[in-house]
Amino acid sequence: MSLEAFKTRVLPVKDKLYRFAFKMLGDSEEAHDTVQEVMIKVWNKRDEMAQLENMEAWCMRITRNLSLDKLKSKKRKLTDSLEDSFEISQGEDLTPYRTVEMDDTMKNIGLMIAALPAKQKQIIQLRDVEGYSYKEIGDIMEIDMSQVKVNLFRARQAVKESILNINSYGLQ
Amino acid sequence: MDSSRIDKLLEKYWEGETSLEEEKELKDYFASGEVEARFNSVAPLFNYYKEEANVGLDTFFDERMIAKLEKTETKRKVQKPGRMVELFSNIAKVAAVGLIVIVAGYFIRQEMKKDEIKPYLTDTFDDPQKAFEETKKALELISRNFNKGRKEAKKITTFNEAQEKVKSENQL
Repeated sequence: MSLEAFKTRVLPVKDKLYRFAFKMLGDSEEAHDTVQEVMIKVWNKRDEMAQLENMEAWCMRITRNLSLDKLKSKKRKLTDSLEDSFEISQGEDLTPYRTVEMDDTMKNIGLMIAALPAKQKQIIQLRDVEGYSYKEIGDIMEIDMSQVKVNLFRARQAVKESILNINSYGLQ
Repeated sequence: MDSSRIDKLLEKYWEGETSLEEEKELKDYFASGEVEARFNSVAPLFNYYKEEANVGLDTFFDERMIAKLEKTETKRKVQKPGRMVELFSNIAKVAAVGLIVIVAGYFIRQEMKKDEIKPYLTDTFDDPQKAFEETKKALELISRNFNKGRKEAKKITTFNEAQEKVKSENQL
């Protein structure tokens, strides 16, 4: 693959990769670094890429695995640093390069989704934000389709419930 | 749009049974601005998802990325002669090990050949007279030691005789 082909085929995926890494890591700087690492990895393996049927899903999978590695090493480093773990769950830095300001309800929804179990959070991101098919999500997360469906169902049920809660407590 | 259709789609959505097209339909409806008041609690969720998809990396990312890739590319080209040297040094390592094995095998075979010569078939003396003397010496040595042993054994027979005597006297 030439640099030109890389520009037209791989670079446009960067925002999707970034969003996914950001959702997993909760830190825009680290997500940015992760995307760079993914791109370098893809570039180094560009000869294998010609045989891939779904390059985008492959890139997403690499992003996911790299993010998981980073999370693991982060956990090792900061086992008891409360401040840092706070930073992840706080919504201040939730969206660094946002075009439109969100209202409070949307911010609350963002926080609530960020608090979901990791698998459900990732599936919500892949399905409801990025619009991937079940099969693609399965490929990216290396789980089978039934697992994807079960987790998506659970995630949506949890989202539904908390939306109803936000509403009934007049938080809107 | 028909709001009963939205109801139906929403119900399917919560169960995780909507297709990607149907989910897009929902997103478009809630973004249209003509949302019925009873959907006010759900609308922010879909708008949140839509907004999330707009998050991305800054515009300079591409330039930096490409500069980085070009750098790794030139590095690789520079490294190419190094790779050949590495290959040859690897071959040399294998060849050296092979040589050692062959040489060792040769010497081991030589040793085995020596062992095959049966010791009792080889002569140690050229002169029969000398050989006779040596043999005599050896036999004398053996007989001397043998006699020593017999002397000691005689003591045991005295004990035996004494024991026999005591036994026979007791019987009487």
